[in-house]
Amino acid sequence: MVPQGRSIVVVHDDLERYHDEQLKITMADGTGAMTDIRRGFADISEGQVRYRTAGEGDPPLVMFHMSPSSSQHLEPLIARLGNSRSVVAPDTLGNGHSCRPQPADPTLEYFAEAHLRALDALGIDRFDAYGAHTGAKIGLELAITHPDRVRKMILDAVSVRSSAAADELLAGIQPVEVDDDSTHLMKAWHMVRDSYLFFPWWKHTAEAKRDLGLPETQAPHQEVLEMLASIRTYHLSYRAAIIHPNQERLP
Amino acid sequence: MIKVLTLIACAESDQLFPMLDEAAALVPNATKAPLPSRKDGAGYDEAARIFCEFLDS
Repeated sequence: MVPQGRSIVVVHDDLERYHDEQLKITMADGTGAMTDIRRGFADISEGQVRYRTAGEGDPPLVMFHMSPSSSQHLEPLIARLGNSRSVVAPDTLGNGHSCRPQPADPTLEYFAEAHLRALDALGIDRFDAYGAHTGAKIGLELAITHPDRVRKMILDAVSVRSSAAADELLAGIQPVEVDDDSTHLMKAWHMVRDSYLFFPWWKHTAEAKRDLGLPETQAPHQEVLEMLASIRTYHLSYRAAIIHPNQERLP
Repeated sequence: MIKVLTLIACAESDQLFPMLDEAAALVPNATKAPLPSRKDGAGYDEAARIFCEFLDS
């Protein structure tokens, strides 16, 4: 259970039922029990931070998602980890249903601090941290700058990428404009669907092919709904993570 | 400098899996955990088990 802070609103709506269906698909051939996942919002100066939460216990495990994505992508893990602890997974600013970042060109340090302010609003002081990809870099930054608040940290797929690869990624990560001709809807679909098949998603070459294969159609559908909510701002945290010199931040 | 106890993990199907050793070497006293692919529920189960084992140790 999230410590009850002053800014918690738990939301259940029709979308939640779609989430539940997707979660059943992902959990289908596993053996772990499924924990109910709830959603809420925390107030910070920029607006609201949406988060998912499950389970009970202290310290909570705070989970930071990859890019382009939202805490929705973490639901299969949240449902399992929530069996044994409290889990809180915020959408990074500019992603999912969180508000957009305030600076025009925000840094990774800014996104990490914004997460910390959201946790303050939820009354969370000391926590365990999990981060995947962009989220791993955010967790890393928090562990370096606030070791008093992070007890243990899991870095799931943290990049130590070369500058040449970073330049290539930066060229392709751009905001998608919302057009009258609705092409942004198709762009969002292909961005999500193709990310299962290629890395990066726009590079349709044998060299970029991934071995994951496509999941049940409901999974990319759900991700597209989240992507559409932030299609003009998703790139800001992604770009900040790529530019962030995490190798220099490590010993 | 990272002083926090850290688990460096990566799923074998992830594009960053080849960087796992390099990443683990950069964090003092880090525990390294190669994870199975999360194509299905069993992969998620195993990842969650490893994460809980680290957090509860």
